[in-house]
Amino acid sequence: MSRVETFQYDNKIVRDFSIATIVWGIVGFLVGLIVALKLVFPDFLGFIPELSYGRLRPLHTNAVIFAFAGNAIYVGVYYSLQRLCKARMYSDLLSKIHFWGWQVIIVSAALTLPLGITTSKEYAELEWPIDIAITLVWVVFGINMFGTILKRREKHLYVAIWFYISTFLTVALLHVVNSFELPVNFLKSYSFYAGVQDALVQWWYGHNAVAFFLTTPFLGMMYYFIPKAANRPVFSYRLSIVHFWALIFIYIWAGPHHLLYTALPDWAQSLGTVFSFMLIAPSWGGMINGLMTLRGAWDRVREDPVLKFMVVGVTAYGMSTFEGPMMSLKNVNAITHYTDYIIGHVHLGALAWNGGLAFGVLYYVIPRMFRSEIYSNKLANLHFWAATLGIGFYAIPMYWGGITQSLMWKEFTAEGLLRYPNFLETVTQIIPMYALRAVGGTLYIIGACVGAYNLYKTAKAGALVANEDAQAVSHRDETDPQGTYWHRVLEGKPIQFAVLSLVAVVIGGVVEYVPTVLIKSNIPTISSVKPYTPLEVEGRDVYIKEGCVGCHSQMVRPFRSETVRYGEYSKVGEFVYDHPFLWGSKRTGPDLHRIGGKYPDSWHYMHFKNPQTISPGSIMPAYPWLADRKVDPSHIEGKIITLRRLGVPYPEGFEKQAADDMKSQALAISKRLAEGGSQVEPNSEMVALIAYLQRLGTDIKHAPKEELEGGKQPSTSQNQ
Amino acid sequence: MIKNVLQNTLGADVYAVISLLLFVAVFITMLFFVMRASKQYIKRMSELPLENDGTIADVIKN
Repeated sequence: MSRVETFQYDNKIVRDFSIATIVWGIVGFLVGLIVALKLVFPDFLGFIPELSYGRLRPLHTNAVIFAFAGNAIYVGVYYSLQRLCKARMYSDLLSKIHFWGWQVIIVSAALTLPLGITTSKEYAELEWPIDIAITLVWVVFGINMFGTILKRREKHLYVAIWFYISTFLTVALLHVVNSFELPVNFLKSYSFYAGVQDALVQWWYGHNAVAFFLTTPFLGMMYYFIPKAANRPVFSYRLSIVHFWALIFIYIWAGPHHLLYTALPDWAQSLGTVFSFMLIAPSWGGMINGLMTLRGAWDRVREDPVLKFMVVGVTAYGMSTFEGPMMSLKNVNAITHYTDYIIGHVHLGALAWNGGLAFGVLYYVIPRMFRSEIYSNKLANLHFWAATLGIGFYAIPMYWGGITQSLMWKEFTAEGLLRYPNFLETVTQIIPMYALRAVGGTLYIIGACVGAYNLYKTAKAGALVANEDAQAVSHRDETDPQGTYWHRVLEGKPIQFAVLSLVAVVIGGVVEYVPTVLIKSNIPTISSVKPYTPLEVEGRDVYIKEGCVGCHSQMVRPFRSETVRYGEYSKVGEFVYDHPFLWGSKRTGPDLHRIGGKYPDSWHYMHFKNPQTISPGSIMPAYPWLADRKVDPSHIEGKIITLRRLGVPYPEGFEKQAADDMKSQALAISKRLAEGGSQVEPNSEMVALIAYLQRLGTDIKHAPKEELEGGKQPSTSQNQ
Repeated sequence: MIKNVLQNTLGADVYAVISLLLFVAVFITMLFFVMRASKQYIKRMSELPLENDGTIADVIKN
């Protein structure tokens, strides 16, 4: 006997996440526009430390990833999960805690990042108390999701839900493993890992954050909302099963492609390359499945803004997932890495794929929850075209500029000299591209604002059905005619399903993690590499605080074009005391790994005060406050103790002398600066930062030759 | 070539080959089972989101 049960869908929580998506989206885009303008006008917004490029850039990336895309994911999940399970969310209270907890985390990020409170690890910049909060809120989301799945009335789990499950499990795993850090105090910690190990864990995280935060949940949304909006079933359900298992299984292995040609051992790089290349298959399988769902319904794509945004989104997904594997090939990577090409690539993904899906979903759910029609199709069209053109104006100049600059870095004259020995020449060449990119970004923001207005008016025209009545028959009352097919059985058992997908992900994780453990014993040691002095530790923390890593790498690759420009290529043994690693991922300015001893202290002083006086046309912002802000000497003792616990061999009791040691080194530097006519307090951040920069990459100069030869061998042709 | 890049680490060649075999095995097994799925089941699953949500709006629509 089947009995019909009556229940209600929770629409209010979906509305709340929708508002958060739109508000944080526009905020995140605006911060992006500000940092884009700063690359064209370095003096833009004056010299306020909290609004400097290095501090705002992580705010922009975090806002777009975790605030905009994050809230959009919750809109999609909370709307579709309830309907696919034919059940209300497990607990209204957990929904509320999840919503408000996530918003508080966003606000705390918006406060701490401009203040320079950061771990410097990309997309994981937030300090340890916020990391813990993220973990707790994520677990709340997980309980709420699994609770809903367990009390569902529909027996089988549709493909979208598998993607949501794998998202939850994998992000939890990534976040916890990458956030291992030892606190110094409430707002400062050092990464548990050092150097190459830290790099490998970070990019295992960074790569898979893109995979399991920006890809899998959006694929789940694609599999639900495209069939819904087009009113036809997914092109191939068989393909979606293959897509899901292949994608989650392969994705997690591919992280090392972010570290090609770095000091990471070659075999780990090759593993990353192979799996990255294989990723094309499931990614394109997914794209084809999404687009082919619309076969025979293309006329509707012309009229329906939901489908329009989704088609552009899925197409961009296909383009990004083609670019990604291509850039994982070493010879392509040699040209694109560290350039603005990557910035173009990620914005194609973020603006078109995540943005397209997010706005598509919003245009779908708002009229349905408010019982109204879209206020204006004309405005929706305007939004669509502004966004699409904006993406074009953004990505194409970045691709063009990135390749141009890279080729300039690598160009030699007939005499065998660098054609552009001054890095700055390669920057000024592409400033028009930076300007065009800001135009593209502005267009996208205008579109988003029009979209926000349109959605607001749509909501105003109706009234929210906060609790939507629904009826369904519980699957417990259903008889299953064909209970033997394996995937069907699996879909009836969500916990087993979750365990299996976790296993798939963990295998890849272990394959990547084991090398990091092996690496520890395999790092060729260089006896002349010593721990940083206390002043250099403080200087390094200033470097981290100001976000220098956002524009400067510390990784000279084994190319002739780089060793001629910067000096000896970086060896893996040089980073063993770097908690965290600061290799960077983009060179808006030159690499700094061999900066130590290259210029006198006074050069750095003048350069920080006003880079344009030393390098006319430079787009590096000035850092006048470094000379005024003081290093607090009370922290160094704790920092030394923390670093020693992490394995840096400071002798016992050294922490007691650290403050004195710091003072005497600072005095020597300030004296040298005074001799050059620059009066700086020895306890200023400027002096500490100069001490750190002058140390960078110099230890190796005293190394015995045979130790260097035992290091990483350059594996590339020397012509690059 | 694979041997060349892997020889830095003891046993890494075995490690990489095992990883690859593992992947291929999982993939082929999955493919095998997916091919065997019954048409009826695939049809039912792919139409799952299109079934009505059980809401009043659906009742009116139908």
